[in-house]
Amino acid sequence: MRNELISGVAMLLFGILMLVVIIPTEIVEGGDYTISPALLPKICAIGITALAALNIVKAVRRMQAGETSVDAGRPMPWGPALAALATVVAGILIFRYLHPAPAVLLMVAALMAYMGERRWLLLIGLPIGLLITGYLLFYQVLGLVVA
Amino acid sequence: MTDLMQGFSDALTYGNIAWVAFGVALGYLVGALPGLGKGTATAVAIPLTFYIEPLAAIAFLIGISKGSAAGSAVSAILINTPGEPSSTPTAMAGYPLAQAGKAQKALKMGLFASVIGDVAATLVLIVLAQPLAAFAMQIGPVELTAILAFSLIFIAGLSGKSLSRGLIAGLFGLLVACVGLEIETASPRMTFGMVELFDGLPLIPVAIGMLALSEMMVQVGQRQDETAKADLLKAASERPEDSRVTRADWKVSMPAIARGSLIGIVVGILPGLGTSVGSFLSYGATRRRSGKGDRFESEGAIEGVAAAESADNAVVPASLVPLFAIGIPGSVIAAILIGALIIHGVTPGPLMFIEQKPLIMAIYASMLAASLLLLLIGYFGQNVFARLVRLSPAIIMPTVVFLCCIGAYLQGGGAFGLGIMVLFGLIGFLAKKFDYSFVTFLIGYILGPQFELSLRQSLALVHDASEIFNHPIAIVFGFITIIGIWQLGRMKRRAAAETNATIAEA
Repeated sequence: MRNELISGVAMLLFGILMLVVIIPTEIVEGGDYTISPALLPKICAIGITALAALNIVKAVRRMQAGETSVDAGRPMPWGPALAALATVVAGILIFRYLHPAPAVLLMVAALMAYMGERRWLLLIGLPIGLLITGYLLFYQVLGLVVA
Repeated sequence: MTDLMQGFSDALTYGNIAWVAFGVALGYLVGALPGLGKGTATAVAIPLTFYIEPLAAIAFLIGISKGSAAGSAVSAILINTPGEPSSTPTAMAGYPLAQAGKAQKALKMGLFASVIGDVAATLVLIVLAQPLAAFAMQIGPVELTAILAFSLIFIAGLSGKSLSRGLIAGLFGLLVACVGLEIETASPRMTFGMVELFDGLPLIPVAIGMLALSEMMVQVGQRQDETAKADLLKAASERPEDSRVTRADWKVSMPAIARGSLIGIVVGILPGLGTSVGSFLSYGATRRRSGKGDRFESEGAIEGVAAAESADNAVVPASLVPLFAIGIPGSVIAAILIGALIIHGVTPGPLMFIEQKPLIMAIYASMLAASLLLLLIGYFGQNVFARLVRLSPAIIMPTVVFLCCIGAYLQGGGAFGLGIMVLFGLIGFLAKKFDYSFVTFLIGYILGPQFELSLRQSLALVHDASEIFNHPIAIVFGFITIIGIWQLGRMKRRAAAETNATIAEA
């Protein structure tokens, strides 16, 4: 129930933001003889706003009626998921501003360690193996340069 | 028939067969690994196909989807952990058999049922798609708009717990598809001054982010060490009949396979229902007919494995019927394949049967070859795949992330694609956490440009509301859509009420 309310409010705010700020500033209206380029985005934003408002009303009503209900969606902890994403982002930044090799080594090894892998041979071997495979695939087989 | 024979001669080359076999083996492996589904496997594999011929590329991807649909039974039967949700009934009926020393028998029956369901659905695809495409050629933009709207609403209603959240996901997909230059005026929309966005958001990084990266984020939170699971293959019974499928097993399983294949085909053709619905429906029908009651799960049932696996595998080829005939992807696999087809210069839809008929026939032939290879690879590789099931997620997931990054980099224009992948990974995680159907989002995103084009053409054609009566097909689909929303809303409310009542009782 709480999740439904939170996601409803977030989607409502997103819909309003689209309608009030993003669509007017990021899409120019068409001329008199063409259909506006903003037509479909507006339809979508209005639909999202209206449906999100409906979800909020439904969630509040159920809460007021004292209904006990399991929250929609799968139980997924924020911490590990965001930590994993942060590791991927760090890897991408190293890739972008330094070099692909340390990026792959760090990203793969850090994720393995975070997921509970403690065998040092694997922690070193798998990232190096993937790096060599990637090198052979891109530089030798496909003739690409990734940097 | 002559066309199909020509297709076989095009498809049965050493190179193409090698790609199909590689796809089936890779798919079987990925399907057998818990947590990695068909969608993830196919999305991550698309970049591997950039540099091969279109036929080999499509055959490879179809091989992956077929292989992973069948492979998910391995972990379901051996470690009671379904490779993906659609194999849950297989685990319910098959794991008790494995515990009783009949793992080999359950695995073999699962494989045979998978192949039969798969072949039956492929034949239905071959027979149905072309006539449907011929019908689709006669429909105009007004009808197409109505059909697309109907499909999106139907998918939104069926792929999550809530119709309204499903619709929000679909609308969000359409909105994301609007990013980039507009079709008619070529004016930029929601590009924030970034030139990279003029062509819109690249499909592969979006799909990889939504499907694979978000799943990795979920798996990290639910990490478990599965390596300690019992090796049920080694603990097999000493009686030879417990390791093979006997005549008695076939007798009890054949009706379940026939029913499962039929259910899977119908479920696959209808957009949005997905493999889980097919396998659960088929399993439920077989369980009711068996008259075993709770013994079906406590003792295990070979016909339960057959029912679930035949339906699960029939859904995949059947879901290509609306894709090939009308250009509407009805499942995640179809949605990803549409992207792969476009990358390789093929536009799915009725025109495909006119412009690229030899390719279609060769794809059909490759699909049938994939079914045969599935049988061979699954049968002879059973012990190898059974061992790989015990690989730790701590090894699988980082490897998948590495492949995700390669795919997003190659298809997304470099580091920009990696950024898009991360953004949509986060959005996919939020969608899963708050139960907003990412399937509906992806299909809305893929259908977006076609929907907008047909909507614009319709508005240009229909100046007056009364002119809509010149389009009876559109009226019929509009009517079905309204009835569908009403019925789906009722269905969801009833399901929610039943869930709440169960919780209150508990």
